[in-house]
Amino acid sequence: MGPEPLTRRRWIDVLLGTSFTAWMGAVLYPVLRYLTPLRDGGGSNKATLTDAQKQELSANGFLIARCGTDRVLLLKDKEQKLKALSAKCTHEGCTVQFVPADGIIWCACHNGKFSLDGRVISGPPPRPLASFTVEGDLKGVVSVIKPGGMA
Amino acid sequence: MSGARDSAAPPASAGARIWRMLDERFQLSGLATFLGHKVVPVGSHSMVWYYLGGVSLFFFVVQIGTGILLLMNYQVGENTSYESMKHLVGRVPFGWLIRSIHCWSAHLMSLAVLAHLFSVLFAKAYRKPRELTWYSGFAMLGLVLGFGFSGYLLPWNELSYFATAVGTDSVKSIPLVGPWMLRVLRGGEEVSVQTLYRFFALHVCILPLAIAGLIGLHLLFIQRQGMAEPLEHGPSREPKGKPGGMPFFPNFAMRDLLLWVICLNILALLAVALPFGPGIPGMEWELGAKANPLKPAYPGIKPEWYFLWVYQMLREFPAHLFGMEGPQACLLLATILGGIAFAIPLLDRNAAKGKPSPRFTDLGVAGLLFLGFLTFKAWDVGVHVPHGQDPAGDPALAATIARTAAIWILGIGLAAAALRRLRWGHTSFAFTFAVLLQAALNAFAHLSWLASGGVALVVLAALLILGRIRGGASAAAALLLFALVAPAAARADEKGEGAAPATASAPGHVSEETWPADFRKLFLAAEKNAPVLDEKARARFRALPSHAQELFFSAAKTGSVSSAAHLATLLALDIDDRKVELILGDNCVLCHSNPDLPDEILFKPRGKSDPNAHLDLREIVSDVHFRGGLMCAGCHGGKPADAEMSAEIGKRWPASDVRHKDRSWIPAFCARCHSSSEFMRGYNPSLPVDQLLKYRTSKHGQLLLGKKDSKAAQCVSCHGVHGIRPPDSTNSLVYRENIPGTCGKCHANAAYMKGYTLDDDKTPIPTNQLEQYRKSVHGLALLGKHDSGAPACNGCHGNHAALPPHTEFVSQVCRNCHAANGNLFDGSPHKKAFLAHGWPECETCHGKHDIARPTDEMLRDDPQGLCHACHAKFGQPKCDETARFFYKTITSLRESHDILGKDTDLLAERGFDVDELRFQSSAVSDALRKTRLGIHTFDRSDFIRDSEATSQAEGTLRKANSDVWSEYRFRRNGLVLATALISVFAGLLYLKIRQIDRDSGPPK
Repeated sequence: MGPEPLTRRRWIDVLLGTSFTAWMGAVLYPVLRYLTPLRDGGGSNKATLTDAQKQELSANGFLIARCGTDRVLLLKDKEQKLKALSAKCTHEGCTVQFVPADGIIWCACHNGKFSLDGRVISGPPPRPLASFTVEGDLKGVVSVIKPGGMA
Repeated sequence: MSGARDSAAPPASAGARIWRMLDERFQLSGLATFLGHKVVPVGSHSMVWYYLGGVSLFFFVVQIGTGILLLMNYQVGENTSYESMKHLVGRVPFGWLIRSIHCWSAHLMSLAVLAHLFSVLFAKAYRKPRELTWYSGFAMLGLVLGFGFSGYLLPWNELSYFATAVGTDSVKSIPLVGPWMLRVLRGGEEVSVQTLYRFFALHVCILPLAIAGLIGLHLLFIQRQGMAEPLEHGPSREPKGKPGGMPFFPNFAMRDLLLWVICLNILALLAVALPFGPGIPGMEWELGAKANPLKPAYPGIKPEWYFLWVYQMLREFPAHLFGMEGPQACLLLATILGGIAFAIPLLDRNAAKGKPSPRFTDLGVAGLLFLGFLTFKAWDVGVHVPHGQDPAGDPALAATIARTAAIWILGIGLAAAALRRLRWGHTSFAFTFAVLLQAALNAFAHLSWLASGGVALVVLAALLILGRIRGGASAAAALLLFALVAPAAARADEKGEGAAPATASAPGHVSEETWPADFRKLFLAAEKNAPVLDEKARARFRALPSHAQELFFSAAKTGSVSSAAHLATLLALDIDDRKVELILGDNCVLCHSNPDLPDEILFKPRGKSDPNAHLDLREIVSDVHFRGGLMCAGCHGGKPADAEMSAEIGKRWPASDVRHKDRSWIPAFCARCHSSSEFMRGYNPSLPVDQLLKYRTSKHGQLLLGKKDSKAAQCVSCHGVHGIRPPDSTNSLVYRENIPGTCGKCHANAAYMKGYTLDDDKTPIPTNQLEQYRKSVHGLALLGKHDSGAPACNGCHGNHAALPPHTEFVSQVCRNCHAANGNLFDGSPHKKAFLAHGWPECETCHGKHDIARPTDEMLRDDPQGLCHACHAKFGQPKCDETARFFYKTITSLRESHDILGKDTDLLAERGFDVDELRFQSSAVSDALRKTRLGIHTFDRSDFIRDSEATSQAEGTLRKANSDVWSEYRFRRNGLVLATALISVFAGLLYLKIRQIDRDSGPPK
C-alpha cells in the first residue's frame, strides 16, 4: 500500500497539527524565557565591604564575601596586600577556605589545594580560581569588582 | 486462512496501541463509553450559556499556570513583596506578561463565573435534581472572590494595603465573633506583614486546594446528571418537546477548545495592550508606591470591581441604624441578599416541579440591575474624577453620579424588560420595577438610597400581594422585605438621631442625673418658650471631659457663671477642652464676658472687622501667654482669683490718655519679662532675651525710641495684642508665611508710609515691595508652594534688628542660601567689574523684591536678553560670544532633555515601568542645573566641563529610552505573530469542527 493520499481531511489534520505546534511555541517561548535566569542573577558586579566585614578580614586574615551572585575569598597576602579570588572551587563548586598556617587555599570537599594566586597545587580541581579586582584598603573603602563586569 | 486475514488487517496506529495498553491496565473502555454517550442538550435555546463553565475553568487553569510562574520570582515579606514584584515586572524577561495575564485572567475568570451563575439562574438549571451543583457553584464563586481579595494584597503596594485595610475592617461587624475573626484574618489588630503572610497562604495554598476539591465535585455532579435543559421562562409558551443532543466528545469539546483558544488570544491582546489594566477603578494593578502603613490613606481607593457594590452600600448606610453600626447593618443586608441567592433552589418551588417560574427570572434581572446601580455609582459615572480624588464629598458631584447611574440603569432595565416582553412574552416585572424605582427615587427625588429602597420595597410588596403570588417567590419577597423595609423605616431614626439627646452618660463625662441643680437650671433655662442653650451648645457641654464639666458646676455654684446666657456665650466658643478650663480659671474673663453685667462686658466672640477684635474671647484664650498661665493679671495687674476689680489693675503702664498717643513704653513693658533670662527660663528657656537690644538698633527702634515716632513698629505691631501665638503657629502674625502680610500692613500702605525716606533722606521708601514680593520666585515659593525654605521679609532684613542691607552687602545676604553661586561669582571677571561700577552683585541681574525665576532666556543675545543690555554698553565682543555660547549650549541640552522626558512619558503611557528612566532623567536635571549654575563663573572652561557631563547623562538616558522602545517593538511584533498563529489555529479548528459535525450527522 502506498502512502495515504492528501485529501482535504488529511490537509486539515496536518495543518491543524502544525499550527497547534506553532501556537504552543508562541505560548511556550515567553514561559521558557521567563524561566531562564538573568545572566547576572539580578545582582551587582561590585561589592563594598561593610565595617564588620573589614574587621573580620583584619582579624582573621581572610573573608568570604558576596559580590553579586559570586562567592569571593578576600585575603591579605604576605605583603599585607588585599587579594580577591573566586571562593568557588573549580572542581565541584564547594566554597574554599584560606589556611593561614600553610599559606594555601584549601577545598575541604575533595582536598583540592590552591596557591594564594589561585593556581592549582594539588587535588582534582581542573582550573585555577578566578581573580577579582580589589580597590581601596582596610583604612578606607574596600570594593571588590568582578573582572569584565560593570560596576 | 486466519493468518492471512491477520496479515491483511491494517496495522494498529501508535495511538491505538497506547490506548489498548492503558485500557488493559485501567479498564478505561467503560469510562470512554460513558463519555461517548454524554450529550449536550440542543434546542431552541442558545448554546452560548453552556460554554461559560468551561471558560471559567479555562481561566482558572491559566491562573494556576501563571500563578506557579509568579511564585518562582515572588518573595513574600514586608521588604521583599513589593521589591520582588518590581523586579519581576521590570527585569525578568516576560515577567510583565506573566503578571499581566495573571491579573487579566483573574478578572475575566470572575466575570465568567458571574456570567455562568446568572446563566444557570435564568435557565433554572439549579432546579431539582441539580441543587447541589448550584450550591457547589455558589461556594466556588465565594472562593473566586476570596482569591481576588487575597491576591490583591500580595504586591504590598499602597492601593492594595488600604483596600485590604478597608475590606478586612468590615469583618468586625459580624456579631460576637467579628472582632476575633478580624484579628485572625489580619494576624493582629492591624494590616501588617502578618496579614501578608496569611493572605499569601490563603492565595497559594488554602484556596487552590479548596477550589480544586469543589471543581472536582462540581464536575462530578455535571457528569453524573448531565447538562440541564433550560426551563422555559415565560408562562405564555408551552413547553416544547425534548430537545436533541450534541455528542460531548468530540463535537462539544472541540467547540470548547476553540473558545479557549479565542479566550487565550483575547487574554494575550489585553495583557500586551493594557499590561496594568484598563485603569477603571477596581480594575487596575499598576504597582505604584510601596505600602506604607504610616502614610495617610488617599481618597479614591476602591476595591476590585466585583466588590464595588458592597463598597458603595457601605457608603450609603448611615453611621448608626437600628442600634447597629452602619457597617454592621450593611453586612447584615448583604448577607441576607447573598443568602436569598444561595437558597434559590429551595425557594423556587415551581422550577423544582418543572414548571415555569417567571418571577425568579425577574428576580435575577432585578439582582443584576441592583448590583449594577451600586457599581455604577461606585465607578463615579458621569463625572471626571482626577486620580486619587473622591467626589463623594461634593454633594453636587454625588448627585450627578447618582443621576447618571440611574439613567444608565433605567435604560438597561427598560431595554431588558422590553426585550423580555417582546421576545419571550414575559409578564413578571415586579422585582425589576422595584429596583428601577429605587434608582429613580435615589437619583431624581433625592431620597437616600436606603429610603428609596424602603419605598421601592413597599411598592414591591404591594405588587406581589396584589398579584396573589404564592410559593417561593413570596418567601423571597418576605426576606427582601425584612432586609430593606427595616432600613427604610429606620430613616426616621437616622434623621432624628442627631436631634434626640442621649441622656445616658458616656464614659469620661459626668452623668446627667448627677448634675447640680443650680447648673441644671442654667442648662435647661428657656426664654419665650425657647431654650437659651441651643442643641449645639448642649452637645458641646455633654462632650466636655468630666473635670471641665465640674469646673462649670463650680462656677455656677459660686456665681461666676450666673446666667443661662452667660453659659451659652462660653459654650458657643469654638475652642478646645483645655481652653475651656483656662477660661473658667480666670475671674477676669468670667466677669468681663457676662452678658448680665453690661457695664463690665468686654469679651465676646467678635468678627475680624470689629474695631475691638483684640477683645475676641477666642483669641484671648489662644494667646501663648494665657495658655502658659500668664493670664489677664500678668499684664493688667491684679489676680485671676480676685472676685472684684483690684486697685492694682492698670497701674503698670502709662495713663490711658498718654499710652495711646506715645507707644514708646511698649518695648520696655514687654521687655520686663522678655529681657530677663531668669524669668524666661521658667517659661521658654530657648527664647532669646536680646530682642529689646536689637530693637533699639533697628530702624523701627530708632524712630520710636529716638524720635518718639509712635507710627514706627513696636512689639504689638508685629505680634498683636491678645491672641499672640508662638512663631511656629500658622495663626501667628509672625509665622513665616504671614510675615509679608504683617510687614505689608505698614510698608504697603502708601498713606501710612508717607514722609519716610531711604538713607539718602530724599528718596521716599517705596510701598510696592509686598506686591513685588508676592510675584517673585521667593514669594511664589513661600506663599504659593508653602516652601518653608523660601525667605520672607525677615530673611533678608532681619527680625528685631530690622535694617535694609547696604548695596555692598546685598550679595552676602543672598549667599546665606545661594552660597555656590556666590563662590562661582567671586572668581569671575564680573566681580571686579561690578565692584568698579559699585553695582550690587546679585541684585544687578536678578532684582530685589521682584526676583523672578531665572530662565535660560536671560542669556539671549538680543534686547530681550539680560546680558545684552549691559554688554552693549560695557562689554567686549568676546563677552557676547561667551553669552551666546552659554545660551546655545544650555537651550540645546534643555531641549534634548525635554524630548527625552516626553519619550519617557510615552513609554509610561504604553504601560512600561519607567522608574529607572525617571531616575536617570532626574540625574540629567541635576547635571543641567549644575551647568546653569556654572554660568556664574562667566568662563567657558568650567561651563564646558559641566555641560559635557550633562550631555553624557543625556546620552545614558537616551540609550536607556532606546532600549525600552526596542522592548516595546519586540512586544508588539510578538503579539502580532502570536495573534496570527492563534488565529490560524482557531480557523483550522473551526474547519475541523465542521468536519466532525458532518461526520456525526444532525443532533439526535
